Amino acid sequence: MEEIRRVISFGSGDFFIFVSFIVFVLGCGALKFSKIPVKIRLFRFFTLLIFSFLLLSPVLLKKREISKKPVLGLILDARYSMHSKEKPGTRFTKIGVFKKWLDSNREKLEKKYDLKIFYFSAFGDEHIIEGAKHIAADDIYDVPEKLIVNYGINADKFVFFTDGNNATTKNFPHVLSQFWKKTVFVGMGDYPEVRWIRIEKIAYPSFAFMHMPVKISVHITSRGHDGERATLGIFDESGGKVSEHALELSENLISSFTVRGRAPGENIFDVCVSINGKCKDRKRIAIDIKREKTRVMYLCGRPDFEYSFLRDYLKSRESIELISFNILRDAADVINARDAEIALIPFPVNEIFLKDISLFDIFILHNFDFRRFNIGQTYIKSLETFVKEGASLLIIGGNAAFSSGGYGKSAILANMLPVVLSAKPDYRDVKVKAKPFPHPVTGFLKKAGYDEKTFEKLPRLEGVNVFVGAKKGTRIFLSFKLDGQEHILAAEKKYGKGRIIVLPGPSTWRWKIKEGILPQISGFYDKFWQAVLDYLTGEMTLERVKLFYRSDKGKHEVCLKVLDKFLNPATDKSGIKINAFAFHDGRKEKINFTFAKPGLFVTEISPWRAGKRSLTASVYESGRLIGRKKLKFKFADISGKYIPGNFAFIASLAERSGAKYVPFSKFQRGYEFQMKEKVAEIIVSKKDLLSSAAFFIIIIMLMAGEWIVARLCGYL
Amino acid sequence: MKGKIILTVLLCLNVAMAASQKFEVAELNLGPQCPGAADVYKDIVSYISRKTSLIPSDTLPKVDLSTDAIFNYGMLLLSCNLSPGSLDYFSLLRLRKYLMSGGFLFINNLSPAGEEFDDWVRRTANLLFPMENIRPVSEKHAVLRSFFLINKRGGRFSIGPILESVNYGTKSPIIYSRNDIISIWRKDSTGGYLYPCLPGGEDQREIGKRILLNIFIYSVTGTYKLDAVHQPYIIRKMRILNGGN
Repeated sequence: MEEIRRVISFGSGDFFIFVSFIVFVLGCGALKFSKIPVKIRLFRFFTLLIFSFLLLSPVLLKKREISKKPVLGLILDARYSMHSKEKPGTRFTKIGVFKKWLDSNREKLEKKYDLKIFYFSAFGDEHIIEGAKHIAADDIYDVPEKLIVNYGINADKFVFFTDGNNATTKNFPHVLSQFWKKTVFVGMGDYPEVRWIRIEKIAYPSFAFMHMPVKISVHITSRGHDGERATLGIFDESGGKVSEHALELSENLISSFTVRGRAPGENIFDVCVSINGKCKDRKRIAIDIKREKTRVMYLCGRPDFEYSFLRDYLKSRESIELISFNILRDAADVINARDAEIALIPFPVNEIFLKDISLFDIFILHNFDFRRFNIGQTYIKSLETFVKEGASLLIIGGNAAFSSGGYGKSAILANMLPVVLSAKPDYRDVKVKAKPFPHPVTGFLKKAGYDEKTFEKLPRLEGVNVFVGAKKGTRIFLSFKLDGQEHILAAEKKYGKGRIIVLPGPSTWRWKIKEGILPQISGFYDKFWQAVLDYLTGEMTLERVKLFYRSDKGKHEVCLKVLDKFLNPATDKSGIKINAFAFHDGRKEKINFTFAKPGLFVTEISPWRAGKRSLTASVYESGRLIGRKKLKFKFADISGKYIPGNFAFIASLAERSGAKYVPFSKFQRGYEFQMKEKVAEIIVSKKDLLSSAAFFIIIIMLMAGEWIVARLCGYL
Repeated sequence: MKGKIILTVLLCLNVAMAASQKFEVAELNLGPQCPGAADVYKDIVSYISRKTSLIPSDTLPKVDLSTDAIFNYGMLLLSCNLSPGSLDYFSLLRLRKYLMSGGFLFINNLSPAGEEFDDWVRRTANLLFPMENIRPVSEKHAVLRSFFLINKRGGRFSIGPILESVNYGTKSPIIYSRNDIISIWRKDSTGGYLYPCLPGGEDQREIGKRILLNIFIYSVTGTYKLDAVHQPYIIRKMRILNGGN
């Protein structure tokens, strides 16, 4: 017969405990100083004691002990790579193998344990396992918290079925160490007989400076390939080989490459390890290439104030590294001085146009006549290649530029220009007034407070090359009127991957010098050149919202660049609200972007289930929509492919967290969870003493007894 | 050889074409104490044009500080032998704004014992840039290496330093010569030089001419010659030049 325990429990809250205590203490005090006989005081004391006791809401509990099944939590990693084959040559995916194992063991497990089944992935898929609950987590480290918070479940043992891919980049969270200590990791696809080779990790800087070497270290792990020859190659986005190494494989191998960023922005590299020409594993990395400084080559054919003012401006910008050459003498000049008395250096035409040209981001040609220096087509071709490959060219006019500099005689140069040149020398000594046209450059100026009215106040430019017209695709952003006709004062056009701007009026310095007497145009000169140069480098943006993908040290992120109404990077205090949703398999899931740094909001993703996916983000500033962007992804169907697991990560995670690691090959042969049945107490009955007749009778008896004693003592 | 001939022809053509885009300098008109350089300006222009690719305009218009006309020119020239009198507040303000907006002023002292004008220059410079004193240019100043490498005094006299300047930011908006590098150009009716250069004679005159040329080039190139790319050449040449003295 099971033993029954009786326990008194108190149901009152803190307030009534306090009240009970006060009543008892005050009552005892009153009795102590009372002059009534001791016998009566004794009756009153017991009455007080019982009354104080009842204020505590006493409950009589009858309890009995029973045995209980331990809780076993099975957690399946349902992320991308778990949908791939568990080993080469099998038809089962890793998830498929788990299902198979569960089907054959479920009944047995349910008999012994209170079985709870979960799966985790970025988005829920209710068909994955019958009766399983979804944990919306993209990272293995987020699972315990979400499990406990969302489902309130804290099992006696958790078993994680994972292949270890999409390893987290976060630090191990020690806050839920108790969770990990009762966890067993099962390595899905970990079979001793399976040979594999994989790129475990690629170490590279998340950003690098343009033109500077970047070191990439590739960690390769393999099983069953020891001593075999392999090739590790790195390829650019278009598949062009950047570098290649021959390797002799071992279990752990690290090989390093040096690459250089070719253009600012995300530079994609594919790293592939291959045996006999067949790529065994491939990983893609993206390095954010930044310009440490914009490198500008400023070549001026003849000194003038435009050069002096523009050079001063370029020198004043810390973000610009300027190399300039100004041709201070003509070959026909008679100097009559010893070479040591002249501060001139030879014009390094080969270095500028051939050897070092690729080191620059912007090439400024100012009133430069190629014929004057006998610069042939080879050099002009090099300049063309420079622009075609993504750099920018700015041509400032003058009496030795454009048609007056014979540019039309060079087919390459004439073809590069965004304007059509006249057959005759085109430089005219006239005064012209600049008129703006809608364009990012003038848009930037407008945002900076320099609108059409400012342009009306600007002093006239003196001297200009007059073009016949603009070519197709050319965008004019400044014009002037001459002889009743509109002419181009500033225009630009894409050429290859680069851009060319022409400014035929070489006297913008007049805008600067007149800032001294025209406060309305104060600061205009600097902003104008800032806009032109930023436009050329691609750093100018008037778009306030930009959505893009980036890979940062193994993390896959979708980023939102947001500018506030002043075009400054938005902060978390800018009143920015982001509504973002991911669309997959006809469903819509809310995505949370978090503030990373001024101007940048980030959400981390790992590959989702195969298929086309998209993500839209609507950005609001103080309740007003400032931009809506959409990003499309496609994740390949990998159910027919074998993707080796990252067992090293799981084993290391188990070691760090105090958990255990078991390969699935060993686990499926039978694994003892070593959990004993638990003993629990259940309440058989509950009696509220406040409403019990016994206490009522005792109180009545005490009151009656006191009345009798009082009568006998002659008090009544 | 053929190529060189073609290049020379082209260069000549180029110089001819370039005549339409000229470097314009104006002279500050501060009264009879400042006779200026209009009478010798053509010779100066001719000298500069012969030796450099800079093509100054033949004319030297006069501008005064009562209007905003100075803002049409990138460089102003002021050559006096006596103090032109204190500038009024508005003239000073206008000149200060001009210089701070990128304008350039060259001041020449015509007088051998020109203490009066020298005082005026220092006083005015101090009013224009109260935080900066006018001081001798260092031997590494860009104006001493903008075209010719200058390491000694030139001009009609050899009284003051090679040049003095007021610095503002990275540039010197005011350059001042105490040694008169304008009068050295004046000629008499026979074509000979009107004033001797003391004590150095014709060498001192030539150096004075070179200094003036350097000032013109400095006004349009600023600190260009201080760029790193020029330094190895300039240091080597300076060693030769100093070793030759």
